[in-house]
Amino acid sequence: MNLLTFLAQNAGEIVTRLFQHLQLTLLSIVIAAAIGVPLGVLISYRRGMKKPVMGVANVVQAIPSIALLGFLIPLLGIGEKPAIFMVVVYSLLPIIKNTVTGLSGINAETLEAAKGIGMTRIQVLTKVKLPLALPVIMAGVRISAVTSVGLVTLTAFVGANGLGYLIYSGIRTLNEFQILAGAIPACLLALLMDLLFSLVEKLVTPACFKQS
Amino acid sequence: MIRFEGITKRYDQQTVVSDISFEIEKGELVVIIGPSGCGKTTLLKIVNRLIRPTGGRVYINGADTAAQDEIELRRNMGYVIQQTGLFPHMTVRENIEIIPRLKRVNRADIEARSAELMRMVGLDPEQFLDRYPSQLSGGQQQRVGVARAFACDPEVILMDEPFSALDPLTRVQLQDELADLQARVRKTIVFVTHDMDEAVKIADRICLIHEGGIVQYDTVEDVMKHPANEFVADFIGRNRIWSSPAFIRARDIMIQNPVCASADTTVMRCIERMRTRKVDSLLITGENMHMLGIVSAKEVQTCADRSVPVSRVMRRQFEKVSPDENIVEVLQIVNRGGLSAVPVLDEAGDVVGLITRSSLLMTLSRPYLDEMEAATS
Repeated sequence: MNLLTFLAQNAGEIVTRLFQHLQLTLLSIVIAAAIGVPLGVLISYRRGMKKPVMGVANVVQAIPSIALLGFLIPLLGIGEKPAIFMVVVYSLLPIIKNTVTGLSGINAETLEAAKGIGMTRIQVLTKVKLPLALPVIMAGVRISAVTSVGLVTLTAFVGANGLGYLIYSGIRTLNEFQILAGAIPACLLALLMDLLFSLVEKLVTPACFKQS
Repeated sequence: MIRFEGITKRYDQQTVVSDISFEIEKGELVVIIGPSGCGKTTLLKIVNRLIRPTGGRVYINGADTAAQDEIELRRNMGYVIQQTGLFPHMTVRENIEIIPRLKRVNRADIEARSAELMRMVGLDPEQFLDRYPSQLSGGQQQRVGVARAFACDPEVILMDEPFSALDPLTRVQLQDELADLQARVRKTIVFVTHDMDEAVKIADRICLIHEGGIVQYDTVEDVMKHPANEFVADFIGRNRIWSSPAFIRARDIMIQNPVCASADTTVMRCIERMRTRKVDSLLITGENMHMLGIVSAKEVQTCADRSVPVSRVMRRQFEKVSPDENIVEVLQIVNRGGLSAVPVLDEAGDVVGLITRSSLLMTLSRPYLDEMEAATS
């Protein structure tokens, strides 16, 4: 039996796992962005908060992901909950970092002009700062999205669904084809995510920056 | 219209502006000028409250700006800075219309106004309204910046070195256009620059700031004619006057110690004095340099009796100029009378100097000679 026939025979399961994987990844990224971007905005206004927030995000990033999953079981049980929690926590750092970088990279005179012509703080944020920082913020989301695909495979450890399940059962049963049946789609999914988010990134880039 | 009262701004220990008081009239273009770091931009930003003064108040139409809502205050005031003041992610139209839209002005009115503003600053609305700032030249971007400042038809417009990043040709063009525009619309404009040429070109009055205080607040002409001190004279440039002939006065170009003789000097001695001093005319003066008459070399040489006092042969009727007459008027007098020299007399008729054809030539050639010197060195 070769790889292709194995894949063909198990196509149904692989596709189901792939969609579970995609679902978990996207859900985590949406949650991470929903937390990370506002946090980044907050930090850019409150200079004093930058160090503690970034510090925590960095420390979390340094914890081995398997260990983190282990710690989460007594708190959140097994299944999707600890899985999403872990992926979100790991995705936050690039998103926060890029949000802060994007916002601080805006020309100070442009912001002063916005203030000087009579925009309120909220208007300066929504009409000037965020549109100008959006490409950089989206680049952060893109990095997170790609790494999340890999992280989601690990969550099979705590019983979450996805391609990780195929990989771990393959490892346990010494079935190379099964490992590949999980790994290859995961790899393709990561590339797909990269492509998808690069399109989003282009979409949100203000027209004026596009020619260059 | 705009009254500064005792404006002071300190950062920690450093005082940026201290106790500045002056008033800008309605419809006047006042240039706040000074070397970098003198506090001129700080002063401007205090007007629209981008900077809060440590002490003092700014009144607009008698109302204390500190008591007003700052968003409302700024929306009723135009603000122009360098090109970076335009929002790069918005089209020209969006840039111009942002405040009217935030104010929820009627859409049709906004659109009509945008086209009108574009024509006002010399840009074709059809061609430019839907472009992005990066697709425009620096000069065009600055025109859009000016158009945006006029969007809400404010009474007061603040300009912070709006033209300083432009190339010299475009800069001069925009200065001229601003001067024309201002002549038509008569807004109250506060314009900050460090460029004296720019100030001379557009200002009604100049407010010269140095080390956080006003050194001089006067019309352009008065600043050039009567610099308050050495600093002002240096700042405006001692040679600047030569490029604006209307501001060059007789006192600036006259020979200050002309060759004179008293009325009872003999003709003989007069001839001798003219020969040794190499001049072709003598001013004949009485007590305290009071001008009595003038003689030319020809007149004394044709005099038969050279032992008589010169008062017998001198002309008592002569062309004269006052020290405040400008070079154009002096030239007219000299050319009309075919004169080789014209005395400069004060109101009492006392000699303060003499202008000769050769001193005029020297004066008029000076800017060219300076230029050549600068070019060769």
